[in-house]
Amino acid sequence: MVKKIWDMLGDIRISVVLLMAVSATLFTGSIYAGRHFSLFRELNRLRVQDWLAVHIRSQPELVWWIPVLFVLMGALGLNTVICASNRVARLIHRRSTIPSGKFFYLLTPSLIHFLFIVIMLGHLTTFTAARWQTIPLETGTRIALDGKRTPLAVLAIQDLFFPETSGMQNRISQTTVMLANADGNNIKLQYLQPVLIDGRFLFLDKIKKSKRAATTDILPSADKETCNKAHVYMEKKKAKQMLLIVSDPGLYIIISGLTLIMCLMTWYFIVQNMTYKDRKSCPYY
Amino acid sequence: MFTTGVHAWLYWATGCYFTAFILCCYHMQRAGRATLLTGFISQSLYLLGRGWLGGVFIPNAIFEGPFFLPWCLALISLVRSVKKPCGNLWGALALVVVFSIFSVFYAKGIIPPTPKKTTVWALLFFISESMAHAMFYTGGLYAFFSMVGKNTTNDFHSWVVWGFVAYTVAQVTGAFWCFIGWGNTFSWSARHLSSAVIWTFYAACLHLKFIPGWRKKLAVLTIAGAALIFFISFSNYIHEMSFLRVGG
Repeated sequence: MVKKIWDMLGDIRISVVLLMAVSATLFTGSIYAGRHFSLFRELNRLRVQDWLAVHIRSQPELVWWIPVLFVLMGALGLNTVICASNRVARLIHRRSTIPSGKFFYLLTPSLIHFLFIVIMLGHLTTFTAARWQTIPLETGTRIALDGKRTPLAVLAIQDLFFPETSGMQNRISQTTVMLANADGNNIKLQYLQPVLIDGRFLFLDKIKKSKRAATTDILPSADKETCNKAHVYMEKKKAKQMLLIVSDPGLYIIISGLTLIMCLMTWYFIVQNMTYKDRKSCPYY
Repeated sequence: MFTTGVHAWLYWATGCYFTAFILCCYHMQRAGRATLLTGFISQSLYLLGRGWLGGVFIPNAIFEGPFFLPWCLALISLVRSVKKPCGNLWGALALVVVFSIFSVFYAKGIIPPTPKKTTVWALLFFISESMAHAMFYTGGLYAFFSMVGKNTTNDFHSWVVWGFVAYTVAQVTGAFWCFIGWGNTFSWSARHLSSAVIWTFYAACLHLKFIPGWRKKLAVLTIAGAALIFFISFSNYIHEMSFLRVGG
């Protein structure tokens, strides 16, 4: 009975159905996210349970697909683990008859599936346990990081613009922020070059100045806002320089998993392509 | 650069692709390939020139989807013409022509990049994403041919496999870029969710091959996947036409 349930849960047909269901749910979600940009953007700065607790009551018609997505992904994860475990068990059973190189080749798809689960768990960790803190930056002020007694001093904020002679004049090409810690050491911060301090990443960010100052974790809502932020990175008066502090326990799991999965997948398909003719007669694939 | 802002290079390349398509339809393969190569070189020069549209070199403009996708498809056609000199190219060229014509009418300027967009990770993302789209479209086309009996090739699944690898590379590079720029490896935005839609859809397609009774559905799903990508990416492209642009 247990074996029957185990085999049923690990059925590859269920994998296909679940992947299609996940795809359909994400597609629905992408439509909602496109039409309610500001609402779903908050989810990038809040833990999913905190965000859902507020919005599942106030706007269930817009956010219902997120719990559905998590349930489907959970079912897909379970199905993948069972399916990949069954395959590995079959391969190990035949290990003595397969050369080492070919064994690893045949094992690779299962490893990719296990890595997929690891990446999904990394994302789940990020969604449920990460912390994002957004603080306005002004020269001469001090900023306190959560849980840290000694604040960081903001020494200088310098915007670098594209050349005046170009069509991009008045647009910021890079910003450099100099911070100083309690020991007097300088910390240089730039866009796309986050700094790791005490397990937290520090990023530069910029938001459009609005009537309601954004000093909390939740970014201000803005009507008809899109993902295009070209207008924000212009003259100083129009936008506010921010510091984003991220504490993400899922990050290293995701990055390691993504790197490994990419290497394994590329290697696997290159070998598969090279041995295409032999593969046709392979009884294990 | 001498091709910067000179759209005649793009129009000329599109004309070459169309001529190559006509020549291949009339089985004039050698002339068709030569014309395709001429168009490809012209388009490559035009794309390089786009890098200076803003007055300073910004490579993001080179790899903007509507312009870079036809180049990827033309590259695929060229590689196929070298690997299979006897094969007819007209099907693949039809795709090149259709997407090139779209680029002719598309907004030519560059969307001013924010400092978060000028990184090699962004370039890697756009390159691998466009290449994956090109492979998925090619797979869809050959799946269509296999369904209607014009079985010029039966290897549409290989295109899906390689498209999936390229698309996974796009997801990985995109995740790196998103983290160093915005502090998230996955963003709850329409763009990221749409990417996940395509990835999970093709993951389902790849698994279909291992279910004996469902293999016949593979061709249908490959065509549906190409239609899905077209809907998602061209919705974005058309939406981005309204954004402020510089140069062009």
